[in-house]
Amino acid sequence: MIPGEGIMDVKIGADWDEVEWELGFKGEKVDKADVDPELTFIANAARVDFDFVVKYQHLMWLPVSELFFKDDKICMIQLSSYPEYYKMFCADIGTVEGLNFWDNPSSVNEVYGNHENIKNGGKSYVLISDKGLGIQIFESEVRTMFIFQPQMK
Amino acid sequence: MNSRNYYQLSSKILLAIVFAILIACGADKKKDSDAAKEFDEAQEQKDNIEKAIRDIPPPAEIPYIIQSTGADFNPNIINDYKKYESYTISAKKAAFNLGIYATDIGYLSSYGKTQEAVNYMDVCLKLTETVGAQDAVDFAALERFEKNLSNPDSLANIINGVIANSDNYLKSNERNNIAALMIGGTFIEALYIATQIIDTYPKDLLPDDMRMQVLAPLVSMLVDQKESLKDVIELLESVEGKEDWELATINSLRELYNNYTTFDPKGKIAEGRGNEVLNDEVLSRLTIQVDSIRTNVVY
Repeated sequence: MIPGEGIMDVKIGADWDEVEWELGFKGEKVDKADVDPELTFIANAARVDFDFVVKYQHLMWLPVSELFFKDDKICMIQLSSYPEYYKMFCADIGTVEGLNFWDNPSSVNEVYGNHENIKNGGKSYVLISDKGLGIQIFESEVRTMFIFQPQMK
Repeated sequence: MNSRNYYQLSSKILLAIVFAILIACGADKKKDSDAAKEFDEAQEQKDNIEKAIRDIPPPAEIPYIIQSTGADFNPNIINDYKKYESYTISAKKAAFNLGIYATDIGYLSSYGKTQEAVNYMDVCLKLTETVGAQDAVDFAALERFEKNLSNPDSLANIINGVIANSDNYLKSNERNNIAALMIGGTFIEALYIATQIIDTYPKDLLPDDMRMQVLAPLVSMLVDQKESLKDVIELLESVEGKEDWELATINSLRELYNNYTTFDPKGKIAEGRGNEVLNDEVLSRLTIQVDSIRTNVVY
């Protein structure tokens, strides 16, 4: 998985049809107003503007749970280890820099240096904006990763 | 035992395991006021299971259709039996993969790979422990199946007897769910084997129209699965208290079904465009969808 770019052919800038060919499924379109506030929170924090989200709850070979679209192109990708059926996949997935799912917060610091933690409810996030990577930490484990366009501070 | 008989046995064993699981629900008898309602719901689901088993083409046919294409045996198409331990972490995953392995036994035996098929049979029986059916597997019945292989009516008689006996006991949605997932696994693996053979059939040996002639029975078999797919979806939808995994399975199969509704190779053939079928976008999408579901399940 390459922060700022994507995972396999699910890439920032790809359109919905291209992703459907890669994943096999179209998923469910969710209007911006109906998007889970948790997701809107992280998108805002990462300064990612989006028009709609495509949600996946399918048996796919990549642990993609949400795709954010702006002008019909992917602007953010969420990979999630929460669904039971993605746990085994996620065990084999990590960033090219060496951060893996279920790593602890100190591993995040070791790989990407110190970054500010953002709290939202019981979950905390680390944004590495210059790499285009967001990390959700829950119970001291990396459980979700977000890929977006790298941004300069 | 020749390969055909062996395959027939494997198909019978799958059916026997499904029905044995249903019978095992007898242990869940309840006396409270909800029992009647629960019984009715379970009965409806049991009817769905029976319908799905009836509508899905006899599994024994599929490997022989494949064989008729002349395609070489491809060991990479089937799921490695050595992976079975990774499926024992979840009863549902075990159930789905039990169905997948049962279909693989059919593929192996249709090519005379008897020893490999025995290995798969062994892991199938081990997975019955994970799904909680180890006590329900009636080994005496399996032995009777083997002895009656030469009599085509014997399976129907034995299964009818099993269904009749289960009528008084079927109550547990959880056990019904396991049976539904096993049927789903069998179904997906049959689709997977068929689509992979179509997809990987050498393209440089024959022109498109000739290739289509060879693969026509397999394409036709694929088309015929549409109603079976609907049955499998309804079966899974009827389960109460669905978990994420079941919802993901249903969502995936629904999209597969939507794709199926636009797959019309017979129309193309009737219009004299049969040679376009194998390059059909819908068929390609169907292949990817089946591959995606199957990859997730066997990972």
